[in-house]
Amino acid sequence: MSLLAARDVTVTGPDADPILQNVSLSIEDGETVLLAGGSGSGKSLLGLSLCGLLENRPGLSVTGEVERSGSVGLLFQDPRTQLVRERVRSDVAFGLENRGVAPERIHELIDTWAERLSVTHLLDREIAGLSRGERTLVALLGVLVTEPDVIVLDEPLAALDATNRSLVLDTIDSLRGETALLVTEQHVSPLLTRVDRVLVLEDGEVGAMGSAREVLPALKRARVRLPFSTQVALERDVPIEQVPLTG
Amino acid sequence: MIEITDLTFEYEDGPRVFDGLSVDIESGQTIAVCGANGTGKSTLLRLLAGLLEPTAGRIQIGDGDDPSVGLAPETPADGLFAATVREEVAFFPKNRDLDVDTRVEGALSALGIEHLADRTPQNLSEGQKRLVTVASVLSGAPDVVGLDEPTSGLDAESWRRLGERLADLSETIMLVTHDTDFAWQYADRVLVLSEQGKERYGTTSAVLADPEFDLGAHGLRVPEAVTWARAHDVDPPPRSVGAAVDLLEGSE
Repeated sequence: MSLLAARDVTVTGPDADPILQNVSLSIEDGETVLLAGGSGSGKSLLGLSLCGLLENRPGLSVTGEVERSGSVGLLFQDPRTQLVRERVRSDVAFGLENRGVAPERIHELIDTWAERLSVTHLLDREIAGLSRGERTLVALLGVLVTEPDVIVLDEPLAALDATNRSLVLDTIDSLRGETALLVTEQHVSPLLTRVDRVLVLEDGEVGAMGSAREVLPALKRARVRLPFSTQVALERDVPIEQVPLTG
Repeated sequence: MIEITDLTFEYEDGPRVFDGLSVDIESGQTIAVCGANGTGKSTLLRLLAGLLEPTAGRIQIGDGDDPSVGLAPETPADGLFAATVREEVAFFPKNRDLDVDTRVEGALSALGIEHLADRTPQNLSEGQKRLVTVASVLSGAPDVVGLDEPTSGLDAESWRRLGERLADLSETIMLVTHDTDFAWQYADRVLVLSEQGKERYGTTSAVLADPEFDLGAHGLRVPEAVTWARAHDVDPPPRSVGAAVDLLEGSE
């Protein structure tokens, strides 16, 4: 059974325009899926919908089915959305406290995951003094400590410097196979070789689904930012099996 | 010309961000300000826009006769407050007594977002919101354009359109960015900040394609075009995908 399955999800906006149309997607245990598409293609909405966060949202009408057979964690695109407390350690503990986890276990989980994400140095900081990139890392830590079965990462690399970007990519690498991941991105350079499958959204509909190489033409059509070498090869009509996926 | 002289800034109860920073920026140039998180890039933009006062030193823009600076913030939602995109983009030109309709249509069309004109900004995707905040700055024709992480969340087409629009502008542009690919293709000069202040300031090639300069140590990625050029033994590296294709086809 899939950990997450969406069937024929359609989301209609306040102007009665469909933002997502009949999108179906399933995520299996330990699978890493990239959800790619241009600006406004509905990536974030699909991610929120899979997490059950579109129900009763003013102005949006949602039809279709979403089934979850495991726990889901979400890293929002704007990390400020999910940081609610004054200090980092307290904020990261929030989700665990709400699950009634014992305090000593909470601290153990926070220390273990902070070390794994290499952000121990942020634990005693105030949220207000963090940069955008540091806030992303703290928000991600808050998700990781709850050890969900599936993690939805909504544009986790946006506005990160190279150091913090490496930390997030290393975390994705270390979680692969262990936790199911759904990553939304439109600048996919570092991700094409890290995912099992790619779903390409084009104007709210599924444009293609398959391995990164299989969906390269759809990614280009969907205005997704591809690696420089990939773009050069596609422009030169190099056979798809010879197109590089990095660099 | 923007003259930044001996600029020092210290947050109340916070760290000193710059200590005697001096940089001269020629009029009409696009400067990319790069560096690791927390080196004061956004603070520099806010000082330029007059939203913060220097602790010491000064920033002189042009002849100092009340220059206008338009600033698009890092988080787009911080700069959006009108009921429709059209009203949002009209705010700046209206306040500067410009031809509002012409300025609004021009800014929307330059960024390819005419179709969003009647939408509510808060209901847009993050990438679309970002384009609206940039259009809201460009519509006011400020003397200096300040953009904080303008490419974050943009798709390939919006990325290219934004770069080409900025290249067409005669105004001085300061863009704060981690996107060294964008800086490589569209900036004239690059300023790299570190905790010590100005680490490097020079032409885009001199900073981003210098094999002796460790970009990674400053939280920066080597532009993909530069990596591609090194792998193909090409010097100087091409600015764009089109230029790389031309190089390869010219050598065949």
